[in-house]
This record gives sequence, C-alpha cells and structure tokens, in this order.
Amino acid sequence: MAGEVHPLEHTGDAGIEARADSLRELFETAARGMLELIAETGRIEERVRVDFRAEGADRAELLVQFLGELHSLHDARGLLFRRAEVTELTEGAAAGRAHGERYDPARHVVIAPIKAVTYHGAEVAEERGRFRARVIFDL
Amino acid sequence: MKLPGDYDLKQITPYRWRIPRKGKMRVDGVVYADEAMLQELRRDQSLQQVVNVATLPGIVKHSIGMPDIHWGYGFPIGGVAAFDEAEGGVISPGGVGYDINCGVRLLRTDLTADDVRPRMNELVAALFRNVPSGVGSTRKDVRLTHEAFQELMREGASWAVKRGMGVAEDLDFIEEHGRIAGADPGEVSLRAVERGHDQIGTIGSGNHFVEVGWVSEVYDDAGARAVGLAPGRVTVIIHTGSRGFGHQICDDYLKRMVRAAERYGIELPDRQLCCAPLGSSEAKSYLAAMACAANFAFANRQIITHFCREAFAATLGGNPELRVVYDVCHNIAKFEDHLVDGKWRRLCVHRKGATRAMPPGHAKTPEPYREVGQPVLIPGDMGRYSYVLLGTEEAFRETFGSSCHGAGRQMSRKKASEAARGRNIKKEMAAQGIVVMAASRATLDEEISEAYKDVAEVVDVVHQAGIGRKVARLTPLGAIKG
Repeated sequence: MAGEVHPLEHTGDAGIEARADSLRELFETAARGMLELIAETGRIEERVRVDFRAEGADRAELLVQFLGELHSLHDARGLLFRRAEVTELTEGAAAGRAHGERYDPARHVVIAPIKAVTYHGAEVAEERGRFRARVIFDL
Repeated sequence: MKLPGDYDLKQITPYRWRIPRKGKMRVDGVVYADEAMLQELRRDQSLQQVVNVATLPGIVKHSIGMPDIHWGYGFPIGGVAAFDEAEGGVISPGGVGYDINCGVRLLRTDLTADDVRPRMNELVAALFRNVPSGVGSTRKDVRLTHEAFQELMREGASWAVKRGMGVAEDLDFIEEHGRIAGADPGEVSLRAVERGHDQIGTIGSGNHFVEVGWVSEVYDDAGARAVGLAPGRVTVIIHTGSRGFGHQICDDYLKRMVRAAERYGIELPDRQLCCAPLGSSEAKSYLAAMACAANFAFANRQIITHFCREAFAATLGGNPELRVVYDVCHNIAKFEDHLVDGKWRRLCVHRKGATRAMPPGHAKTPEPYREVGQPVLIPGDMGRYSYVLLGTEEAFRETFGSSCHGAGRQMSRKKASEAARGRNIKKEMAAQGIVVMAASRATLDEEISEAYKDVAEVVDVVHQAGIGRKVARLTPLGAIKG
C-alpha cells in the first residue's frame, strides 16, 4: 500500500496525518503532504535538486527537523518543491533530496505559505507494521 | 463550572476566571473571558495550554490567557507568562512564537475619510505597488550588504530613519524606541540571514496587512485627543513582523532548547514549550538572536511606513503627514520590572499574541501619552473594525502590563476557504465600501470576516475587566494583504 496523507483540522493553523508501510515512505509521504499544503505541486517542474540533512533524538523530532529543513530551504531560496525523497535514514539522522524550481508567480499557485513546522503534538507511531505521523504547521 | 479536563474553573470576577493550581502546575492559571467565550474555549486545547505553561520553572504569579486566547502550539496564542531568574525562571522561544516581534503600528493623518474615499482605488493600488506582499516577495529598492544587514539587526527602526526612511520623531512612538538592546548578529544562523535578507520591507502573507481606515467612533475624548485621533480622520494600520528571518531564528533555537531542557532537567508537557534557565548560555544566545529579529521587525514596519507615506503623497498630493501614533509588539519576551506581592522584581515577560499595555505615569509609556497610558492597538478582521485602547493600572497589577492583541480565528483556513467558495470576496468587500488587493485570491478567501471572532467582543471583555481602556474604533476603507 502506498503512503497516504490527510489534513488535520486546527483553528489557527494546519496539520497533516501521514500513513505508510515503512519509516522512509512515511517521511516522504509527510513531505508530500507539506509540499501539497504549500503549493499546487502538479505545476512545479523538477529543474533544481537540493540535498539536505536533519537530526533528531527520536523519530518525531527527526521528522519535524526533516520537514523543517525542507521548508526552510523553500523559503530561504525562493524555491517550490514538487517532491522530496529520503536518501538515507538512521535512528538519529535523515538525509533528503528535494526536487523543484524557482517560484514563478506567473506559473505557480501557492496555497498556504507555512511559517514553520512545529513540535506541538508531533508524533510518529508504529502500529502492526504500519507507520503513522502527525505534524502541525504554523501558518 | 466543570471543564472536560480534570480541573475546575472558578469565577473571580464577571470576566476573570481562575484555573486552580493542580498536579505539576506551579501557579494558578487566570483567563479573561465572558461565559460565551469560555464555552468556545472548551472545544480546543487552549485552556490546557494555559495549564501547561503554568508548569514551567520559575513562573511568577499566574499563567495568563487573554480574551482572544486560542489554541497555539506549546504556549496558547493570547498568553502571558513572567519568569524570575532568581527562582529558576526560563526563557522559551515557543513563548515568543515564530514571528518574533510580530506587531502593529498605527499612523494618523489630518485627512478625512471623505478626502480619500473617492481615491481609494488608486491609493490601495499605490500601496500594493509600494509594499510587496505575498509569498516570495522581496523589494528591489532596499538591497542590503552583509554589513548593512548586521547594522539593521543591531539598530532596528533607527537604522531605517538614518537612511531617510522616516523621521526621528517616529522613534519616540515605538515600543522600546524601535530597538531592543543586546542584539548580537553573531548568534544568528546563516540560514536565518539567507531567509531574511531579501524580505525586509515586505508584509508577508496570512493575516498580515496594511489597512487604511478612519476613526469611526470615539469612546474616550481625552484619551483620543491625547493620542491624536479625531473623529473622521484617516488612519493606517501596519501589521507584520520579522518574516522568514524571525521564523528561522525561532526554529534554530527551538532545536537548541529541546537539548537544553533535557540538560537542565526541565520536564516538558509539550516539546514546543522547550526552554532554558534565564542566565544560561542558551538563554543568553537566544535573547541576543531574538533581539536581532525584533529589531528586524521594527525596521520592517519603519520601512513600510516610509513607503506608505510615499504612496499617500503620490496619490493624494499635497504631502499629507502620516504620523506614528504607536507601534507595539505582540510576540516578544522582555525584561521588565513588576510589582509582585508588594515587591519589585525584574521578570522576563513572555507575550505570545498579547500586547504590552503600560499605565499612565509609567516610564515606558511615551512621554506625550504619560497622562493617559500607552496606546494598545488591536486589529480586527478586514471587513469590520479595529480598536485603539490605553494601558491601565489594573493591567499593570494583574497581567504584567498586558492586554489582548486581536480577534483570533474561529474558523480554520480550510473552513474559511470552503465558506468563500463560489463567492467573490473582493467584490463583496467593495460593496461594503472597502477596497482590497491581495497577492493571492486564496488569502482573501481565508481572511473573510466570519473566519474571525468579533474583535468588539474581545475588546469589551478587556475594557470591562479593566486591563485596557477603550478609546476609539477604526473602520476600514481599504487594505493590501499577502
């Protein structure tokens, strides 16, 4: 079964719940959820590739850091990402590669500019071989 | 009154409720609200967040929730908490928020609503051209060298004034004169500089805006006169903060504070509350970086003021004066002296979605307002009204000189977008006599009036509870948004 992602309701902000068969797929699915919140990813071409790394003492912190780094690169460099893949994943660290291009208001549709990925209620759980994550974003 | 949680809520006065200390709480929680607001609060986690903040080390007196309190992450939005270093008190980046020194500046003019109403389309278009908004917005006319950016971090609003963007008098009407001391660019990451460098002078997105309005009601003649607000006169509200620069600094330090909390053995009910003892190296670094972001935000609102002045002059001619009434932070932590149980104590006051509200006579109230109190600026939603209040003795005694900061959402962005589906919000606003321009249509949909609580109700509770004095209401004529 492929990874799936659903929105979480939060009055002030936005969140996602992701589910997947492996931790690696969970991280990639959560990244997809975040990127789809930010912009219409179907309109983004893969012209730029950015590698990034994150560290965390546990899985929830690692996921927040992984998404946080991806988001920060988007905002700092004016890039929109279509997708991100996990290139390496250990208990305390993750490496990713994001694919996208420079934001062009003429071609791209931004949905919800995110300020940050929060620790509030961040969760990664494993239930009967399936992985689940919840993350809330500051909008 | 019994809440869904395992704590009782005791009514102290008609608008003030106490959450008695229990379990790991070190102090009581105190929430300002009317009964209807409390019913709303029971539906989310904001009261639990007041309780969570009450468990932090060195918290003094109460963990406080303002009438516009709503569910945040870690700290509630609309929360105030003060910490004493001598009692192991802490600083928490989450208690300041991502948008460090998000705040509001109010400008006043001698123009009347009738002067500008016929020119509103042009004026809003000029503001929209002059003040970039929305995602990825940068400005080409304020390019900073690395050295200039470092100066801006240290100097705040005065940096912009020195470069001709504003006048010296502006600085007298800004909280802390537009500069928080102790800023050290050495404590700011390269990524934060990369994110913030090109965003200076832009308003960003979401609920940030520049709004032209007019004084539609005066509740307190002497107060309004003292702050220069006359009925019918045109005003401008600027609501923005430290943009990606502050967001990155918060993010960087949350990461460090999670480790610091572990190292100092601070038990956290929510990781977003991560913190370090005041006086620790982590706390000192954060305060120095936070001051850089706060100064960025002061400079940002100063630069935007300059470009608003240019837009007014270009559209209306005759060089209209736009003078600063006041500029307040509503996401900040600061060291202040407060009287607690008869003793003056130096406390680190966190205001997350709360506004400083100093009383008449206080040294931090600008000298020309010393008789009436510090102006408290409370923006509402784009379709209704905003308020100007004044700080009071009660606020100084009860809430560490703090008041509310806005309306607070009552609909998620998703629900608001659904409510706006099939409607043309820009046209609806125009039919109400309000000209709006936004970088994205989605923003207008998410920012519809009904997505927000009625700010009048929030302000009334503040006024009735005595932690702010209602002075004037401002009604919008037009706005630019992200």
